[in-house]
Amino acid sequence: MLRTQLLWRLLPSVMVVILVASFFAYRLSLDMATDAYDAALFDSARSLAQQIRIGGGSRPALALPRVAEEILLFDPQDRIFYRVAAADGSTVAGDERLPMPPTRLTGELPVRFYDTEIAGEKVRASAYALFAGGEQPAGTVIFAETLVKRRHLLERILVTLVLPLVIITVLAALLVWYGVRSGLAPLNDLASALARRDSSDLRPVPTDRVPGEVRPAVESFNSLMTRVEAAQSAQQRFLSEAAHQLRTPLAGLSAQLDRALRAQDYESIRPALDQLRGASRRVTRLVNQLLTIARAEPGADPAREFGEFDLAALVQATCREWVPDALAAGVDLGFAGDPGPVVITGHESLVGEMLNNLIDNALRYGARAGQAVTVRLISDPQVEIAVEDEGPGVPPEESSRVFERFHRVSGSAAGGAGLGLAIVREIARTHGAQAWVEPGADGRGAVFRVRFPPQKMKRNPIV
Amino acid sequence: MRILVVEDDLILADGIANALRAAGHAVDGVASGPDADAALAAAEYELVILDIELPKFDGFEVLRRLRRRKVATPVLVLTARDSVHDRIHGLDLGADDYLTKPFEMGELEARIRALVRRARGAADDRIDLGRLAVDVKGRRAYVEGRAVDLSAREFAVLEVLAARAGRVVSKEALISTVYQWDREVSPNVMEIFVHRLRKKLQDAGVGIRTIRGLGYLLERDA
Repeated sequence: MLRTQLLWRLLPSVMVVILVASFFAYRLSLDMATDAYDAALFDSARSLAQQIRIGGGSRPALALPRVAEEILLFDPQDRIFYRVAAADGSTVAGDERLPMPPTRLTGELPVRFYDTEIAGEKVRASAYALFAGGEQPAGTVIFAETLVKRRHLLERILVTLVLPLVIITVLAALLVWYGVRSGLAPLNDLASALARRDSSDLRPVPTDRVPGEVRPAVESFNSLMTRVEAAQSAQQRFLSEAAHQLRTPLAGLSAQLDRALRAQDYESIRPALDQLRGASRRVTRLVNQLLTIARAEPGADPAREFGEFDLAALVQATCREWVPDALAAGVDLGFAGDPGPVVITGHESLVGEMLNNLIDNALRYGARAGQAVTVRLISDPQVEIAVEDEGPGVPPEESSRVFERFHRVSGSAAGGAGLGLAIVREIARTHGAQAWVEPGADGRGAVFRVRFPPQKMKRNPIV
Repeated sequence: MRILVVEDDLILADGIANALRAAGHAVDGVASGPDADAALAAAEYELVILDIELPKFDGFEVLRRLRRRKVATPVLVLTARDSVHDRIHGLDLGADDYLTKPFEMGELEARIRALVRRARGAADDRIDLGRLAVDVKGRRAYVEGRAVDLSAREFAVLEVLAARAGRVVSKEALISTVYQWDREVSPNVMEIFVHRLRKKLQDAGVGIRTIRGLGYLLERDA
């Protein structure tokens, strides 16, 4: 879900930003607070140092009144320690448990702050060098305090700085959650509107309430809907046209059946039966053509069953099957051109069906008794099938319409439903091939051509 | 010949059964998968005509059970579906032939004859075409009872053309019946054979047509 997804992407980065920010803020304020406390510690150390006199043998001596010591050592939270050490490290005054600074103090760097321990307790110490005119310090004053107020400060920083950040994080998460939800509301509306739709309702979705980011998707969806609607209404027209085309031979069947049933003897039944045979053949042919169209449609995905086959063998075998019909009609059906093999990639049975329809078309409309129909296979430069007849030809204004479904050339012989050439074009299209009709070589008859796209060169197997 | 017709469309089943009975066969009819299976288990048939779309279980299942019992009876499958996949599936299961509905009775009868001939392992040993008779066993041809003087190769060509009378036989198929496959033979050689055959069969009431680019066809004179 988009909301969870956004949240999961957003929250970690917000968390990281907040963690980094609090880390630096914490470090900064801790440094500043430490500096402030250290300055106070240093002041105390210097005040103490001012009470020291360097006596004979350069040995420091502390002359601190009792009251002054109490003031100096008073702190409401922390315990205070001090130590005055001579140059040799011996303790002159104060607590001798207080360690000396980790490095010696010099004239260039007479002050040092350091963390140390006294009786196992952590303290912060400030060391201050005493000078009596020489290069080397005559003694050291160390002033130290326990860490109670520093720890308190740390806690206060954490509470006042980090807690608000945590609260901000939670608030940010909630804001993202609700923000995304309200941002997605138009999408949810869209989804429920689509879910409520009837399957026949292919109207476009209104885009005025849709957020800009989703508009391209909705517009693509709308254009898909438009195309689906066009395809659906084309299907609907086709279905209704097909049903109407079936009605005619069925009416013929029914009429001839009635005639046969009323007949009194075989002699008068016979013509009705012949007519019945013809009507039944027309229904069969029409149904087979409709099935072929369904198989060649892009929705049936005929390319799935593509394979390599010898087109020359298929063309010749198909022609041979048609020869008896051609002979019965007195038509000289023949084959010419490349005897093969001519290997192409395609749907063999659909290409066979295409050939059937081309030859059927030529025998039905293109040739009369005594005329010739020639099926020619050309393989160079491109694979092409040409079916040539010597019939009346196709008028130029009809030459593209003859390939339309249910289109019949006006004045042509009855019997067909106008699907044969539509099948030819459909199967050609499935193979990326071009199908067209042109006048015969000397202006007589018609030539129906199907030109296949250039075939991929087959590599010769290495023997 | 005893034939089982398995078809659940009663009009079609009636049509098939009547045609087969008229041709002199004994025909039993059943209309569902289990009935077909029971009939095939109970009696011996010389041929089964099997629809695929059947109630209870389909024709493929009937076929599977039949072949599982190691029964080799020829099976001709009838179906309204004509996808290559269905066809291959049927043939894989052991169907001997495949006919798509609707078909013409003449086509069904021709397929039945071919199947039975194949099952009996014998081709017709005599082919009659009008005044011409081709004695396949005796390797001789007769016109109105008089023997025609043919060479062995001429007879082989005539035999193939007569066996497929009315249909086109390619030059390559004819050449391969006459010459060894490894010999280079010019396709024109067949024209010479056909020319001679036409001369010798002038009064036989048959003609050999040259079909442009496709081969030859033997037909009875009209």
